[in-house]
Amino acid sequence: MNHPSFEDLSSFIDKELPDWKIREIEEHIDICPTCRERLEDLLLIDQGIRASYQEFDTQTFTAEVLERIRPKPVSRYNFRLKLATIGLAISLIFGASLGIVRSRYRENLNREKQLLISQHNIISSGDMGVILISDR
Amino acid sequence: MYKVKNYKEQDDITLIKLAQKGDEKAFEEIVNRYSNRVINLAARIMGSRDDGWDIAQEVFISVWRNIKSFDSTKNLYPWIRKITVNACYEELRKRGKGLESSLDDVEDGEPSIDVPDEKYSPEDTFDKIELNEVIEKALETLPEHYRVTLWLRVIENLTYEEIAETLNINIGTVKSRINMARKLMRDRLKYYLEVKDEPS
Ligand SMILES: [Zn+2]
Repeated sequence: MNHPSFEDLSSFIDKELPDWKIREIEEHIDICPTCRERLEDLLLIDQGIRASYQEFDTQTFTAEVLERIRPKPVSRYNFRLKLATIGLAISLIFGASLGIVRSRYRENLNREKQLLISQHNIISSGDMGVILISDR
Repeated sequence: MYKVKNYKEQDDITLIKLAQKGDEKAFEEIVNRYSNRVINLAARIMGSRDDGWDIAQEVFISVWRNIKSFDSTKNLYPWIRKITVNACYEELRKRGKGLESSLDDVEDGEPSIDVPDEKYSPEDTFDKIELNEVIEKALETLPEHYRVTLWLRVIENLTYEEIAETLNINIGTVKSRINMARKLMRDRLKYYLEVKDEPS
């Protein structure tokens, strides 16, 4: 057999060749140091890749995942905060409007008072000579 | 629902069934069991540990949300692995990376990057850098589609057919990607592989 191709050696270590081909390559490797070395290099690369598999902090990871799938107390706090803000805004608006209504009411009251006084003055100085005494 | 004392001792099927009923502890055990593999895989595809971590989190949240629709007669991890691969490619697509490489069909084509990185030139002596460390760095410089295919083969121990299924590509592409990945690795590590053969 000729030296197996790089592709064949690669498929050989992955056991992705028909049985007869695997046997052929095995027999060849036994007698060919060059191919044995090529094969060893490939196996060494695979071994290095396996060594690059890392151990992560899975405890922290799991805790983070679980926290994300649970209803968060933080968001409940936010909800309360939102509720308080809305309440405050409503009372401010209510307070301000009450203030405006009250000042308008007072203005109207003063205006009416002035009107009454002027009417009283007209009547008390009228041609009829009738004197009306205001109760004020 | 019956109470389970030791979740660690339960098999996947039991854990799935419990998680499908909303048992958080069962889900916790699923995360414990597979998170390291998922983070490793995602980190390899994304080319970053932090990204791998973040995507793996999204993967398990998606597992929790979709566990009810999972067919408990099937194996759990291949499903999680598929979600992981899809999530990574989706993220790479969003970032404008990796789309062309995930859809490629490089039967015998040249690799997109074939110039060995400067870092791996034989400037440093072999005993300064461990071979495994150099191999990991060489792996990181592989184009992502070669890297993930080789990873699924070597770490996840999948057959070419299973890889084809996971990545939605044909077996011929799997084979050529693995060959090309190994060729690139060998070329980049040529110096170190030669040194290890020399008598010290
Ligand atoms: Zn030979």
